Amino acid sequence: MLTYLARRFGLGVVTVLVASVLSFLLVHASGGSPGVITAGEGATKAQIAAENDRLGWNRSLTAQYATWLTHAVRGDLGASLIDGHTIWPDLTQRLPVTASTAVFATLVSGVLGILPGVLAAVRGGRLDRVITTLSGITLSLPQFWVGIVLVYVIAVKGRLLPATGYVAFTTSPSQYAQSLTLPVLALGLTGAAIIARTTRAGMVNALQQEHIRTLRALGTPAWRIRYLHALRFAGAPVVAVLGVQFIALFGGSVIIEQLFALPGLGQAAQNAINTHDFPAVQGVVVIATVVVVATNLVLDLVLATLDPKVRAA
Amino acid sequence: MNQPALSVRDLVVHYGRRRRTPPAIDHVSFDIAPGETLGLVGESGSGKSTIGKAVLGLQPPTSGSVLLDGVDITRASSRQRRVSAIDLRVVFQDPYSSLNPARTIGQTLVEPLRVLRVPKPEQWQRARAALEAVGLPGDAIDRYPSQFSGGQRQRVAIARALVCDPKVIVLDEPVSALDLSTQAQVLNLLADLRDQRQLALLFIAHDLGVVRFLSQRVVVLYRGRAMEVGDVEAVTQRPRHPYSVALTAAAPVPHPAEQEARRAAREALGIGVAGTAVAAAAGCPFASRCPLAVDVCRRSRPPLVPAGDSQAACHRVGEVPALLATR
Amino acid sequence: MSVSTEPIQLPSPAEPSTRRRLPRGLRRPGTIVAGAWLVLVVLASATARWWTPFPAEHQDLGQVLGGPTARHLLGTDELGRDIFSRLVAGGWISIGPALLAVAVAFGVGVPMALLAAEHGRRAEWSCSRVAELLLALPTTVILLAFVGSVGVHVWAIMAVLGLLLSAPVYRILLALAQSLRTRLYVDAAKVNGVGSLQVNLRHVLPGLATTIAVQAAQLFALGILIEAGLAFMGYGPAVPTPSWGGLIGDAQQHIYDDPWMMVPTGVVLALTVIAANQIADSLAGERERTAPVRKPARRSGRFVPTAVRPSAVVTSDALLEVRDLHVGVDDGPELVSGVSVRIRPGTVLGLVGESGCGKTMTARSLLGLLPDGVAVTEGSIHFGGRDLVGLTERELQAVRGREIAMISQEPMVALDPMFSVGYQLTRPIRRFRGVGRREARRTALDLLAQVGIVDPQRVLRSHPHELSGGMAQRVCIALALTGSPKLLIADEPTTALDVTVQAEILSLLRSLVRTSGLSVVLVSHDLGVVADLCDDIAVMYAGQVVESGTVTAVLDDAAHPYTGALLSANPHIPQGEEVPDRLPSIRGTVPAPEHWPDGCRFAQRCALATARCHEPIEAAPAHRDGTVRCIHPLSTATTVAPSEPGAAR
Repeated sequence: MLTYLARRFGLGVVTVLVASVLSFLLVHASGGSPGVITAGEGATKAQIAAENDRLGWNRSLTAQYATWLTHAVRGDLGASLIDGHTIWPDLTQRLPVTASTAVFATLVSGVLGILPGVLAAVRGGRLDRVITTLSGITLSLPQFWVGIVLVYVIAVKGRLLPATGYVAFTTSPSQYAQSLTLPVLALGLTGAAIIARTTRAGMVNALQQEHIRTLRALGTPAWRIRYLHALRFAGAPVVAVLGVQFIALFGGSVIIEQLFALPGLGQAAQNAINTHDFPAVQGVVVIATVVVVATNLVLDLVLATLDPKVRAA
Repeated sequence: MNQPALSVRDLVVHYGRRRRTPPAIDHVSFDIAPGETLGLVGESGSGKSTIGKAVLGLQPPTSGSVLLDGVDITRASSRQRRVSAIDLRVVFQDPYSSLNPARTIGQTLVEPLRVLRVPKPEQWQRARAALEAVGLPGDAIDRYPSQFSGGQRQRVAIARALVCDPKVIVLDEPVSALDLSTQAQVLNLLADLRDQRQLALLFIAHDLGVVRFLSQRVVVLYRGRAMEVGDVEAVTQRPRHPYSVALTAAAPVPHPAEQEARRAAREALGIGVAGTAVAAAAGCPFASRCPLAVDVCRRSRPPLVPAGDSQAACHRVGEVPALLATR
Repeated sequence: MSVSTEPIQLPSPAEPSTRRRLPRGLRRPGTIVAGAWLVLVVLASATARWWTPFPAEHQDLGQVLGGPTARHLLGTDELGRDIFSRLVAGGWISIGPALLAVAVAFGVGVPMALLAAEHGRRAEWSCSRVAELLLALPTTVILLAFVGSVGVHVWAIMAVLGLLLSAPVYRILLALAQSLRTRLYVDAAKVNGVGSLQVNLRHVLPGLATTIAVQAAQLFALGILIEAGLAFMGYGPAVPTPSWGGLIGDAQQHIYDDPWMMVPTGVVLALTVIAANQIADSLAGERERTAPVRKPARRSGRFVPTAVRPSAVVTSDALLEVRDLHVGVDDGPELVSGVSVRIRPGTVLGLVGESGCGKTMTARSLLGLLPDGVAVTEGSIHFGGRDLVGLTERELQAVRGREIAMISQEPMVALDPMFSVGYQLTRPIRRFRGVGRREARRTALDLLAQVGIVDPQRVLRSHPHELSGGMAQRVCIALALTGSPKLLIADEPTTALDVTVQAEILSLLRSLVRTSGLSVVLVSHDLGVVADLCDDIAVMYAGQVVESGTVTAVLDDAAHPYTGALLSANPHIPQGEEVPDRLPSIRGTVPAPEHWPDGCRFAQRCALATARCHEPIEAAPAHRDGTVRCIHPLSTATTVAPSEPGAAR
């Protein structure tokens, strides 16, 4: 078990390194150079070259990467080409915004997904068909479109919640909650549909297992069979999909943050891309990869506690 | 000309790359003459199917050799096998998984002939002939496996083996998935074909009764090692290895009075419960369950030695008749 | 010399070939509509420039932000461009790149999966590590980084997406390809000398087809969504060119002054994604198990209440008596027709027969545990002064485990893999015996010792996957004993086990019967097993009991030709007897339930059959206490098998 986790951790570190190399190479393959940006508009070729020299752009690729890496492990992701602010503090400030939406959206999709999924599998019949159809439609809806519709119906027409903007929890918990409700709903609804589907399929499969028949032959109460044995058997794939959801929501927040004007990582990514702020792009890639890797590690742990066979591996 | 049709020499097979684990097959040798059937019998984990796979080239052996009609095919590539192993065919256990459900019986039957570049009209002619030889009508050729019962599918699988006119057929548990009445039909068919065509059969089975019906000689395997080798009547009626004794005693017969006596005899043997102890790598693999085991059995491996009418790998082979007498 | 089996009659030739037809799921109306929609969208948008009312870039500043009119069917945008025309024209730039992503994902993923499945551990290790790495990369952010450094090139971006998506494709297909490669027909092809490429093309790839189709449809839907998302953020095709994501992005700008704008594009985009997912669902539906429809307690519906039924008065000394039991598939054939058996206290009854003879259905109906869609349609099961057939699910629950318990054929899957053996044993002990945790644990240890487990402490702590088959079956028996039942139903309890382990389990069951007065119904196809354990026997053929009586009477002096034939077809020749050159065999196979004849169901295969055998035949008394359903019973003493002409020597 420990060796298994150690191996997963090792793989995670490798993944982060590969992602950083990848983004580093992308930046260099793009043909642009940071000098063009820092020297400002209308700069001469010589000025640009001088800027590039100052930024170390002309050194060998390996040397540049080595420098970046040694700084990065100390939490220094460099400075923005645009306004010179250091990237690391900026990103850490934005992280809570994105993390809040992703965590709450995952919770919403878990709660709104597992319940109908279990119901559909256990009840069957018409309820099953209704839930399957509804979830099929919901998971096909583009999140940003759901977001716009929500803004229109709840914020513009209903005037119940603010359409855009973000208020930090420390400033006002209630406004924090209000500012996050619509983005979380927009992200969580499609997630819930996917979770409902996974849960239903897992439960249907679980209820047809031989060991469920053993339990029935022992006169075990139906609720116990369903909600303890079958649900736990079906649990592993659901948890795995929830993990994937969290990762996807983290990525999906880029769009939602633009839509709701949330100052999160996605916004930072977009700003960096639009302004060709190379160090910032690289920083965002690395942070996002770290989040994915960390999520996967937690997922492995949860799956191991759930399934004794994984634990023994 | 006394050349065996199939000859397996000192076969050793390891699974995986870790040599520390005991081998799945540990120095097994046997010969099969044309027209003869050799039974390979053992329980799960005995390695009987692994031997079949090694002979067929589906599992590379660690050492040892497989000779087909005197030609070494141990490490032949699939391309070389097209030429050197046309005389070696197979029938597998599960008739539901051994036929591709998406291909007609005809397509399945001509596949080996296509590889051999037999002219097309002849391919279909031979396929039809093979179907008739196993007692299926020729119009089965255009049907899909799903339209056949288990026994019929097994006949198709036998036809696929026959279509190349082989000299040796490996039968990997060919009847264990079949019902009793169908099982008898297929066993009879195999016996007929063997006698008509002088086929050499390597008959892999877990059921001593079935092996006794079809085979002339038998190899009893336990954890990858040959425990007893000999004439099938000798091994099944007068076993000389304690494991063969356990195996023959455990098979129930459908006659209540006789079975009661057999059960009493078996329970008196004092065979250890299966799977409780791990066998010592050094000694006899059966030592932990054997009622006759002494210290030497756990320390050194017994070689195959002549005993009665067969050969047995047992240090205490002399005591086995006494063990049987006490029951 | 001819082969000893006469030519086999194939099933009705009318059965059409199942190939070369659309899968059933694709023939459903919903799926046809979905497919038609996708085709329509692609065709309409590919030909848009020739027929849309306005060119996509045509501006009409006099008609800004207008709602739907006859001239502008779906209204106009902020530059007075016709939304309908732009929507149609933008279809291809949304769908095309998604198709490219799907093509790349499968172009990379499929060969990788086939390669890894074929070339064993090392190839699999490297491919899987690459896939894990790709999976761990944050898709959206990588795409954005690509946009940031390389620029907005829609097709290139989607190709990168395809590369990232090849990892999940690989993962799913690898597992399937590996399982397909364990199919014996792949081994057979290899023995035939078929080359590696041909093996993959002929035997592996076709098996992946359905999954590939399902995945492709799903990824296509995902690709459209991602492409639209990128375009929405402004990373779509260059400005005047319309794309669905871009159109929604425009709509967002006018959410206050023209909310209508978001409707047409959103609906078309959603419909397209729904259509793709619908096709994926129907393709997958071919394999997916459906949720069981819960039946209302319908088993009681057709029956007269137990109390007033004349047969409810139990006069015999039997522990359990089954009378005229019929089990059938809903709206389908009967699987068990008129079975009557009785079990005396402290004895073992063997139900024997070949597969498809209804023995398992009979056994399962004793506990009310028939599969979904199968139910008792007639007859009674008397046990402890009640008729079990009339009981509700709740009443049956009180019987299960406490009075009648069951062990099944596959001990390795009969225990819950998620819970320890200790938990699985102590739970029912506490429920059945009303004891505390520590007391239950002590009882569990006792039970494990009772079923012959040498180190019960260790087994109690272990999980099912750590047990061998024999051990697992012992645990299952211990589990069945937790409620101290009077009757144990054992459905082929030793079939999956080795012969020496089988002997151990049979001895264990025998000692349980001897020491605790337990009664057992043993379902088996093996006459030897029945001879070893049973006191009474009921031979079943095609849903009927054809012969019953004490095990000695029936096996030593079989009266029904089927019993006789089974006995002589058995290759287990008694010790000391000569092995025959050929086995007397029964021709043909057990007919399927829908083809069961009206008369003697064995008549078609019986060598003794006469014209009268094709009329209905009642069970007649035989073997003192038993029955035989035959008008030409075999003479006593010897078992003359109805061997076929060819088998005679």
